[in-house]
Amino acid sequence: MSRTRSAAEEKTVNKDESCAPPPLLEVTDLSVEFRTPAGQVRAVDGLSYRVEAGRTLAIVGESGSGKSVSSLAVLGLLPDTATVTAGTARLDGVDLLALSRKEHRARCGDQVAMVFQDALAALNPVHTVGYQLTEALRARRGMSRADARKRAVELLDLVKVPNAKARVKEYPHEFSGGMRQRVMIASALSLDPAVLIADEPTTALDVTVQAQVLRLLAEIQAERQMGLVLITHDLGVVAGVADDVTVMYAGRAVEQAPVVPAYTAPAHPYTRALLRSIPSASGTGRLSVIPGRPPSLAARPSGCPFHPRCDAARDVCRTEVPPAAVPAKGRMSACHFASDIMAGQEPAPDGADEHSTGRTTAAGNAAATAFDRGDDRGDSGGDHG
Amino acid sequence: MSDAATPTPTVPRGSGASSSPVADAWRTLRRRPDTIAAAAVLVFFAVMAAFPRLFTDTSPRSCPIREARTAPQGWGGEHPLGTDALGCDVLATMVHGVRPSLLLAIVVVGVSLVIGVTLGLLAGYYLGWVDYLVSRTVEVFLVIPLLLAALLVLSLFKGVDLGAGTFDVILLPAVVLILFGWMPYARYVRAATLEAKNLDYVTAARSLGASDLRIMGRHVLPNAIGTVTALLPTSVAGVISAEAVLSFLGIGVRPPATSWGIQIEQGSQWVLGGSPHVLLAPLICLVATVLALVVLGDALRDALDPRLSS
Repeated sequence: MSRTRSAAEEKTVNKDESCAPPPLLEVTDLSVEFRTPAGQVRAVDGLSYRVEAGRTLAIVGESGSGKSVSSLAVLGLLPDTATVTAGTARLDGVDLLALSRKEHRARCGDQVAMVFQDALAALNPVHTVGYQLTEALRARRGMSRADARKRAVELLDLVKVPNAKARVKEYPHEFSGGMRQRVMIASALSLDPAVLIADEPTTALDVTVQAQVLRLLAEIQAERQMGLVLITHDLGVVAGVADDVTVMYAGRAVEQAPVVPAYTAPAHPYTRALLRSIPSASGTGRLSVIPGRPPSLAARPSGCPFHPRCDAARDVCRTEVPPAAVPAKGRMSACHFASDIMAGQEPAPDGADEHSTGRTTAAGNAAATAFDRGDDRGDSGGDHG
Repeated sequence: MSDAATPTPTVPRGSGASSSPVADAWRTLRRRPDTIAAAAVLVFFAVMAAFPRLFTDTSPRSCPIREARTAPQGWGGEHPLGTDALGCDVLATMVHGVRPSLLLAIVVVGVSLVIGVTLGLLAGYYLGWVDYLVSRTVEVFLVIPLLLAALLVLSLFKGVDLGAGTFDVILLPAVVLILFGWMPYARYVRAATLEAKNLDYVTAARSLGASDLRIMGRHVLPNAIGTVTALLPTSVAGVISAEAVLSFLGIGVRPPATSWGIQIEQGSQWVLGGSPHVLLAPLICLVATVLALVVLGDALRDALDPRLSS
């Protein structure tokens, strides 16, 4: 698994650090492939994101969009059939993905920990809650049994489980769904990680409990200035909790932006379509839906992976993979017409943009040029409109 | 003494925690009368194994030939269950045969369990070449007919003097039965490990930096052992029957020690000669023990398997 980093890559990282506060976790160009009978399937394709202290990044996407796989890769928890084929995940200046298994393990839980979706499945049915909360502390910090018990009670108090003292002796099946998820969070916090990755932490809970758990996560995060990665498919959750959002589709980030602008002026047709398909209390008529299904990763559509379902697809979308455009500061959208979409306009019809197709081909795919070109692209899109 | 602990399957592992899966299993077990009856049968034989003198004063080795093939005389008579073809007291032989039979069963099942669980866990957890090695070995041992291999091994070592202590008399059959008895445990545990190791709680433990050994020992094994625990009573029954077969062929527990198997072998020669009791007495005991263990195994499986008990 040794990966050599190019000098150029090193330089860009340094440049980033000089102009912004160093992120706690920075994932760059992450690609994960699965071995399947049908051949190699790329589940995550060139994903980049950064998590800063005290901020929450939401990763949103449909099932199979690669959002969970990307976080499992960061923690080194990928199944045997999957391999990281490219990219880095820098945590505290160290590339986790280049570490040996043992070194990687030493950082898991300690610096980055994970909250799982189904807390009942993620808690071992044969051990008491107290045991599971402090297993890591006892095994890795050599904590004594008595201290561990005390710490378990503190942790349960931290996540607001009532009557913590008595409940540490109980088994996971004796807890309700919301309480189990709190236990799960407490166990992830047991080693004081700098970054917490929560993989759909509220999907298995009903709405009221969901709100409580999210509030709890937000409180703990604010208190400890933790970086939080919230993986979800619930845009409501994102709006309530997150600072930044990364929308994933077919293994790629299609839009990255702070939450408020992303919601008010989405720069990618997929984000726009997702937002339109949220039922609203005042809405009348039929709920808008995204037609079709997410593509099979083994048979990815040519060009933009979203084009078969996109309501703004043009000829160029069918042939050219859209580069990462920067329609506004701090935003990224992998769409040929990012600026148009963000401005609330439809892209020009097919006949009008022949010259831009040529330009896209010339521009190539290198990320740096793509960013610059994205701005041009936006301008020319404006001309057409 | 381990003899007295024969009915351990009734009391699940662990030291009676108040509200644990073990306690739940115990509660379910208690409600079933057939379980209680089966446990009583086993306790009875366990006591017999530990204290044979409680049941008979006659030595199994005093065999006055003139009293050969006495019919059963009922309780109070000199030979309650009669005598066999050599004049040995059937009851005494039977009572003294319990200990080697049960001891052998416990030793064989215990050691096979340890071997099978270890190999199955490693194979299921690491897969790759470890799994290849273990699985192929399991298959090789499975295709060799037990009886054939046992016959071969035992005849090879028949002349070796191993002494006459409690364990010495069962050593050879124990080794052979272990050699050909560990595979089912390895397969069951391997399958259960494959299932358990991809569950979220294992991933969760790994996300907190747990080592492979810890994950196997503390997270996978306790959840994978359930199916095997329920398999144990039936295995004990299987070993007793197998020993009977080996003894029947003259290569089981070594004389002068007796076992049910030896007794059944001798008794079978006189069934049609007017003395069926010589066969029936040990046979009934064997069937009762095996039946009790099977009932217990069933109950234990129901109690431990969450899919059946919920």
